[in-house]
Amino acid sequence: MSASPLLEARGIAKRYRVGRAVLTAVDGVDLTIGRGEAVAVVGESGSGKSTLARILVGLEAPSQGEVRFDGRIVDPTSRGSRLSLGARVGVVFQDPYGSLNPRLSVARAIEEPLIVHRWGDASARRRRVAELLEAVGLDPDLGARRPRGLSGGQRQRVAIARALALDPELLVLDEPVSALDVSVQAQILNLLADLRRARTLAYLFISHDLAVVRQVAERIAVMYLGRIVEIASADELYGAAAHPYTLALLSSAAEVEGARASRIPLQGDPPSPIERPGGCPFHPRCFRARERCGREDPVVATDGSHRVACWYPGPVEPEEVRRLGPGGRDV
Amino acid sequence: MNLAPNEDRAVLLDVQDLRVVIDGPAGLVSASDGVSFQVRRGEIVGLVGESGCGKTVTALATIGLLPPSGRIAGGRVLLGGLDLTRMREDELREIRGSRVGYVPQDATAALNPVVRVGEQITEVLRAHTSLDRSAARARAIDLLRAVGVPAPARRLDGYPHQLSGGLRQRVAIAIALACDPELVIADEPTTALDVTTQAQVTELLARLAAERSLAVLFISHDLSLVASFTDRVIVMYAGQVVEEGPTPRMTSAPRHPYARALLHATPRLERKLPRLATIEGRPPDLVSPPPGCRFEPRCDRATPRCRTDDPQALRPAVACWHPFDGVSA
Repeated sequence: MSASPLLEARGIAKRYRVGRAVLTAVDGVDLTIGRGEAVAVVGESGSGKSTLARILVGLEAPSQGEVRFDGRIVDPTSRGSRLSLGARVGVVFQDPYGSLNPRLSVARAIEEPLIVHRWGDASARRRRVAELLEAVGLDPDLGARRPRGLSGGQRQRVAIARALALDPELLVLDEPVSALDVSVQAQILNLLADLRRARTLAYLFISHDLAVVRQVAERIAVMYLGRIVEIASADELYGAAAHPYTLALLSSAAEVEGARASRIPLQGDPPSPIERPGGCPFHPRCFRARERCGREDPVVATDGSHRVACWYPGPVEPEEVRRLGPGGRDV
Repeated sequence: MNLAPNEDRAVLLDVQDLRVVIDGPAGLVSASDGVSFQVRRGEIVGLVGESGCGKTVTALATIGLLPPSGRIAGGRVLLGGLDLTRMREDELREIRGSRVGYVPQDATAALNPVVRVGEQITEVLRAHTSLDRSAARARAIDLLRAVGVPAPARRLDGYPHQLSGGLRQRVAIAIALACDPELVIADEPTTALDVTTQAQVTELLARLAAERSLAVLFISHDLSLVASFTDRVIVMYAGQVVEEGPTPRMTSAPRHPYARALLHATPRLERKLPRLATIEGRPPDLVSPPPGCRFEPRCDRATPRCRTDDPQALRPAVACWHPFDGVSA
């Protein structure tokens, strides 16, 4: 077993040209995923979380930086690199309706990656498909059906079975439950927990939902405008978040048990990845911003594995709660 | 149980035994089957359930917006005493513009793609109020700002396609609020929005309810979102209301097994749950629903009685022969 982490990304940036402007989707991200570790990347729309995921699994090339999988550089332009990564990384997308070919049977959809990677002969593949259907809690008889005849939850199970076909070490899940009903979402989240119990499987879980993430992730990275602004173990993040954006996000998320106590409002307008603010990218919306924040990029403060990109990190102070008043000041 | 102060307020919307059928490929679907509930002035009510439970159809029928395949097969919908099910289309249109605002799930469908955003808002204002052009424009800017649209004056001259999905949704909410309605019916209005914007919109609705006695019927699949700002929660399953009650109790100790399963299937921000509750099986076919309790085939507490006797007979109490005792689980 090698000593390098399963996945290691250094200085990842991704810029797109939009007419004459440049859109910065990802701006200098470092991220490591250990073997068998479940890491979540949380952010709102435009945070760059999905672009980052696509770069990490070699579906897109970064403009800057490099990704290593098991110590080897991921190169999206090389067919060899793509193929070897394809065998070791499974990907599940949000839309259980769009991600399956409507003309293929369920069994054939799951078998496809096996065929592409020349895995076993036809009868070995048949056995493997049956195993996979069972692993995701589907009746093997379902294999003969077309995706059209399946419910949303069943389709997402098929997508997971397919992603697991080559026994990958990493499963990348991009909003895998956000299109599902609550009771079905619960089934898929339980399944994802069970799958990791049975094998050494790492997750990169992309989501906007902090409650969903709590069920699956051991470590959580919060993204804002292309940067990881805070990363910590799940317990640290939910218990001792220190970045003002994380604090705002946590205070905005709805809790089942009782109403929000005091929401920290974000100031001003949602950001544009084309006109990025200077200094800390969050400073125009930050309740704690001072003069320095607009001038200088924050240095990352590190406390063990807890990292925060902020000049003034820390929990919400009682004085701040008083100053901000009850939530909704920005409405 | 303590009485919420809302109990004293006048009933604004009174839905009585509403039945809606939809002409589907497999026959007539009883999409809403004997639904009764009330919304009082200034009250925020969450109508919660999963896909296919009939919550959207119920809302659409309430304000006369059913698709051509659907029709009201029985019951009454009273708005301040007037029966909306007996009104002509032009009368309903007047009510929808002035007294009831509707925010659809899909804002793109609600907005006219070839008309500027500003005109779509001012059009409503000028049809239903006495505001002149410039006053209507000023009010449109205020509305957009209130629902969190950045640079509102600039957005007025743009077209819907130039806005993100989240912004289009907020424009739809602004239109629904334009004429200061008594009731807003909102169908998953914030599902496409970011968490921080979602909180902003629900807080706006809560503030309008408190300050102007706006009544809100908020349709959602998201129990935690509903818990954060509603006064009362109604849970629907398979075309029927199975339980309703004050939000704190419905989100801590619901009594109907389905309502309880839904609560325990919902992930928590506060703590990681050892395991989420799941509900095996699927809802029944609503072309020929079973005679007894519709949740019976999926319910752990079912007895033979549940298969034969319809617990809807127990409404307005919880529609279950074996309800939980209402103590927090």
